[in-house]
Amino acid sequence: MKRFFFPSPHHLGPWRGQVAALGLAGWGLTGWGLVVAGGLGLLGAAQVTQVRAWDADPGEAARAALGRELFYSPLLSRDGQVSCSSCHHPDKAFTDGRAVSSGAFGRQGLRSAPSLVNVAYRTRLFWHGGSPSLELQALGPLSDHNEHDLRPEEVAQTLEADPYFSARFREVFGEGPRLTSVVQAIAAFERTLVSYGSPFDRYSAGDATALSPAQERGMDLFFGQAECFHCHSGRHFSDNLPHNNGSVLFNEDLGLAQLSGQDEDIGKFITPTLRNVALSAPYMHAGQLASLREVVEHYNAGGQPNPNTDPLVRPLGLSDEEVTDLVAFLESLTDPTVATNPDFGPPPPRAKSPAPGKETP
Amino acid sequence: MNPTPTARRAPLAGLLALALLGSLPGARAHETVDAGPVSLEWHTDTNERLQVEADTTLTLKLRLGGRPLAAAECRCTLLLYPGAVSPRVRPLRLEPRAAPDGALEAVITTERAGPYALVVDGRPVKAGAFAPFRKVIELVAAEDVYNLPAAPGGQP
Repeated sequence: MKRFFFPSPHHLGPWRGQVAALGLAGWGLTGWGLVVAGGLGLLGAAQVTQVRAWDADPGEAARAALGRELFYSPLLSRDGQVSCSSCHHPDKAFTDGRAVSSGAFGRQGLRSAPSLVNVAYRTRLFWHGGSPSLELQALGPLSDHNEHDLRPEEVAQTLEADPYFSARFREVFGEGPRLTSVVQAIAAFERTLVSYGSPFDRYSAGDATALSPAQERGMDLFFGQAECFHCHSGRHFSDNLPHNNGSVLFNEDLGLAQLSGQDEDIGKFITPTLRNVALSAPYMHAGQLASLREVVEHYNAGGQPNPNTDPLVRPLGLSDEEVTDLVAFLESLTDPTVATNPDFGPPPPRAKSPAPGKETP
Repeated sequence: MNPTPTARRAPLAGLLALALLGSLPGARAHETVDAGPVSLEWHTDTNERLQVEADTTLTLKLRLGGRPLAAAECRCTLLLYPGAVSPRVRPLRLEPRAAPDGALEAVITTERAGPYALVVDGRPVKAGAFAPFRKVIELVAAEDVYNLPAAPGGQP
């Protein structure tokens, strides 16, 4: 198993104990694969022909509602000013419009905030792909010195000290806040950020008028001459794999090599989704390119001659008109309701604090 | 006339020799970077070396299928790496200019003696004129460029 599929205890640092509490420690893809394969084998051996689906978890909606409150609350930060939403704004497809994000006390990070729309379907989170789950991913920004900058024990302590959240956790989880339940709630909210309302989706569903002629020509280029589909594949326009796209001549940010230590992984980052890309400028892992046109021109020129530039990145020979068409197609991947969906935005104002100590069975 | 056994073996021996050369560590980079129809002739005005702490003028003549390829036809990027090409090393991007005869010229100033790797990355100005190429030229910087053994590797 490659190390980047699952953060090693070394990479998790102070969160090791919490990861173990999540029941995830030691489970890499290989381990899960064995479980799934074993389970299917048992079903087959028992000649089970009907599988009863589990009932939907009624608690998930409650956890997501709490997660939404946490997502928009600046309580969970060293300076009390930074929330998840500081870097993930709905009107920017849950990015922040900056090249690199800033966190507690205005400290600058190293990378651009990635979009969270449809993040539930991503299998490798963080730009370097180091987290396999949203729960583990949430631990990263909470502890990062340049983001929320909290120690693990401070997360639960801070929420416990807040009467509102202390009571809300008891409502939802039946106990006071714990780090594990915090990340479960945030992840539950993030899983609700789903969008398939772009013109491209309508076109795919059979509405031939959903794309303009320029967008149709751009689509042909995307899946043809420009060959964007190699990396931006599937329903979410990402292969979920790391590539060095030659966005810089020299990678100060190691990317995947931060986890693997391998030279060939330097500057490799997980392919970002293209959904809602018209809202998520600037582009690339550190916001190096300001506009979609710059991005297409970057690829059209063949990228920078970085030693690790993926061989798929090479001069495309697109004309100016074709670049325009390709940009038009990329814009068609954006669902404008992402920016306006009230379910994605801040929670309604608190009517009153829940009754302290109220617990659910 | 049927070829003699010796004549039949000659091409085979040549292929084997090429394969062997390709497998040698020192020859690997050349094998990779020399692929494609563009050939490259280079030289420096300091005995095919780089003069430490002084300007060295590097001249590159490109050929496409045997005919000269003018500098204006190529979006050429020249990168100088101390030692070998590595993603861990920030290269020096040279500023090439077109010489009157169509060749590319670049002035290189090195601070330390030792091996350097010059990457020549070329893309066509006119799409499709030639396949993009990338060549690595091994260079040596020295304080006394005229009192050294023959340059390693020779010209590509």
